[in-house]
Amino acid sequence: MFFTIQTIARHEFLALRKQKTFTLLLCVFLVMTLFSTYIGWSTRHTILSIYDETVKQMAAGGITEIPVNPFLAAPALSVLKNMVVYVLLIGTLLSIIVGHSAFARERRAGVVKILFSKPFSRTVFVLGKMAGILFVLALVMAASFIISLLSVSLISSRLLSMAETFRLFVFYGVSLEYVLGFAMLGFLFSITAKSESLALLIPVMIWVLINFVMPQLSSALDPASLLNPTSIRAVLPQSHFFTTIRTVIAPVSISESYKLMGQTLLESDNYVFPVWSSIIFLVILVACCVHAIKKFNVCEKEITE
Amino acid sequence: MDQHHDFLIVTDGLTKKYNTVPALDNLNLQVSRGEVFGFLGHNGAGKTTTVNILTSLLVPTSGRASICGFDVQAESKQARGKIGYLPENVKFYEDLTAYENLEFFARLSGVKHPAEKISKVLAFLDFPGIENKKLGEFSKGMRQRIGIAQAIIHEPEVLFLDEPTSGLDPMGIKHLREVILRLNREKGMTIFMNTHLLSEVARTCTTIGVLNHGRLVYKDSLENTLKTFTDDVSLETIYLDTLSE
Amino acid sequence: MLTIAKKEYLDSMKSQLFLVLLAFLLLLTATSIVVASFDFQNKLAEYNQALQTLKALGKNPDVSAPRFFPLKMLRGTVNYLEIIGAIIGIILGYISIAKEKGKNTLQLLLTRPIGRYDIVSGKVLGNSILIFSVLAVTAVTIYLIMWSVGGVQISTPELIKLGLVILASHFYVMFFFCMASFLALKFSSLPNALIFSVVIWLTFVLLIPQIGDTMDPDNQIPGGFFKSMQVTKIQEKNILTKFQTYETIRNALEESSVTKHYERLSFALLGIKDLYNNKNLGMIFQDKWPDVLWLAVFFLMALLGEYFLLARNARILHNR
Repeated sequence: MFFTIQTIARHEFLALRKQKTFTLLLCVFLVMTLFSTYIGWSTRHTILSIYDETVKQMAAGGITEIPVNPFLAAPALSVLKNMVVYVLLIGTLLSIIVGHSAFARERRAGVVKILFSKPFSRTVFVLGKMAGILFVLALVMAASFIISLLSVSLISSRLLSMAETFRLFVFYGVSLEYVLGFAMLGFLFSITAKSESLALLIPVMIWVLINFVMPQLSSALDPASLLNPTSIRAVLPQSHFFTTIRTVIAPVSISESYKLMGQTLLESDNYVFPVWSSIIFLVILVACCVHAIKKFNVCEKEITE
Repeated sequence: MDQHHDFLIVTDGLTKKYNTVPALDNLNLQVSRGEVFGFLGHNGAGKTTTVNILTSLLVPTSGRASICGFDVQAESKQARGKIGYLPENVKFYEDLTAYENLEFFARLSGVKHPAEKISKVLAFLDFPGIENKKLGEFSKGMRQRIGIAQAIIHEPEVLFLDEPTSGLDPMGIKHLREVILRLNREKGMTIFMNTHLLSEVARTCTTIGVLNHGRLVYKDSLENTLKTFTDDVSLETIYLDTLSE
Repeated sequence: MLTIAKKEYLDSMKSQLFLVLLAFLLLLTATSIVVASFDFQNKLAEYNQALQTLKALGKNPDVSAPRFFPLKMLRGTVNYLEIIGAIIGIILGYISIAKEKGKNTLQLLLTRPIGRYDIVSGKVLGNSILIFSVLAVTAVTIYLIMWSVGGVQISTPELIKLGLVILASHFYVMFFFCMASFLALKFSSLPNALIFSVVIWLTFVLLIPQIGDTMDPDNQIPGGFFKSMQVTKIQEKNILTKFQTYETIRNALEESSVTKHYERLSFALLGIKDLYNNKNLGMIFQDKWPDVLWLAVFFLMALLGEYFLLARNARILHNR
């Protein structure tokens, strides 16, 4: 059984490498990471120069009590805060595509019949595919981890401490778990949906519900401002309607718990291991897997075509 | 199961309906070890459906089937372990090489060290030196050979061939025929072949069965068939006779 | 061409794509409207409370009450179309090509006496009808609900504006459709084409506006930078004059994103920017014609790109 899982996983990686999808994913993630640190740096630069100018004008106006720069106290890792939004939106979307293509490829290649006449169970197939996707996404995340480690060190012109490195590591670990759930979602619908359009549209719709609709319901923020990482700390409306919704959807609104996790790890001073969110993500991942195994139907239509 | 010991393929009242339209109707069939079984019938008679059920790709509406004593539903994994299968119009991962394709399918069939098996099977098929070519560059005939290679690489007991000659040129057909006979004689493989090419049946098969609208209308050894009907009657006449009955 | 367009449209009907998309868009719109109206009530309550407090203190404040503009409620919807409409466009465009690749249906089509341009035109047209009908049905439903349940009256000029927003949305989504099908035609690996489309989407929708945002200090600190510094509005203006270049760069960046043009146009039409509230169409167009132009240019570029690709490579639709 392990042998077959390994075979399927290796094949998945090989196929992604051959089609250059792997390279592409790696590039997108690395550019995203660099971009995130660039944005962090550029923001800091803007704020610092504007702060200096403000202080100058205030001093000229005779104000002596000058507030501290609100940006100075921010921890070194906070330049990466955009990564939270990138993983949340792009990482997950790319994972859906990876998961979707894992079976769409077999279908398009026309090998479904040979494949399922081989002596392995559907559980093994799903596990093998998942292991392959896990491997690919883990490599991508690892590369992103190393790049962000280097670039943050460069920007703050010092080596990151062990504690900071560990935090960053935990952030990428939980992120991997999170995106893997979406990859499984893409995979799940690619084996169960009635048409190819729906196979891709349904997971993307779920993605929209998770990333936009639920946060909008609980924070009244319009979708565009949800793209801004500062929205994580936005003041939430306190009326009865919104507080009720927040309480109701809090346990299932995984994008919000992911954001909170990211913010705690990257932007706050005291470290807390994100137990709750990592458990939720794991549960979702496992649920998707189990559902995929149960619902697996290389539908009759396909075989008889 | 014991009385079926000599029979590698057994179907018992096998029926398959698509939305109440029967594609296969109460099929009872036994194929014993060492046979080359030619399964004849017009297009849409239910031949492919039969093979799909025997390879566990489709679930029958009712009835049972077993391969080497393993039920294709309840013990589908063991049953699939005994077979090799070449679907009609076989396709592969086009951007992978022949070796990579074969390695993948060999491993899925449980071959632990695919490298030597691949070179062996390619030598057997008289098809050397193509390991590192991409499948996308292959002609129909070459693909068919790779298709056979993946079906026999794990030396299965039963080989299913679904319209193996379709789309092949005369050279390809001749080569295929030789391969089938050698697999049967040298490796002792039992072969189940769907076809509508009567000339091929006459040259390779030991037994024939004729399927008409999902029903088995005729089954006998080739020898008997040719004996029963007088010498100068061609197989074509027999076939058409059977169908008109 | 019409045959293919019809087939494409019927396909989407048969696979319940139309219903699924419609239900989804309605859900998103309904969410935005519900949230916006509760948010409005919230603000109104806050305003009244503040007014009471101030009055109790004996002051007579000069702040007017938040006013209700029905079209303003659609801000969230426009945002959704910006982000999700674009993705739906991408997926439809990708699928329109992907479902033909790897099957031999296109070869059959190509043997018929129809040009290869007709195939693409047919696909664009068929999906164009699908997208437009989804948008239009959504708009009508929203209008009917607002009118029957909320008792909101929408005047004729406002209806025209709404119609124009739908038209703009349609071309915006179709830009992404054409772009994605262009890439799906261009790349031999389909997942890569999809990933590229998503990267373009990401650049327009997320990255470009974000670079712009980093040059806006108020966007970086919750509640606003100047507020946290306790700086008055006049001082703020003084300070920002020294940073004119930031504003210029920001603006230039936003110019390069089709999303921003669509947003500016729709926000102006819907009066979400207060400046354009209750203005007539002529005045809005006087200001916003560059956005209309840009939207058209982006759409045409993607569409012509597709034709150009077909013209250069006649066998692109064939399989290997």
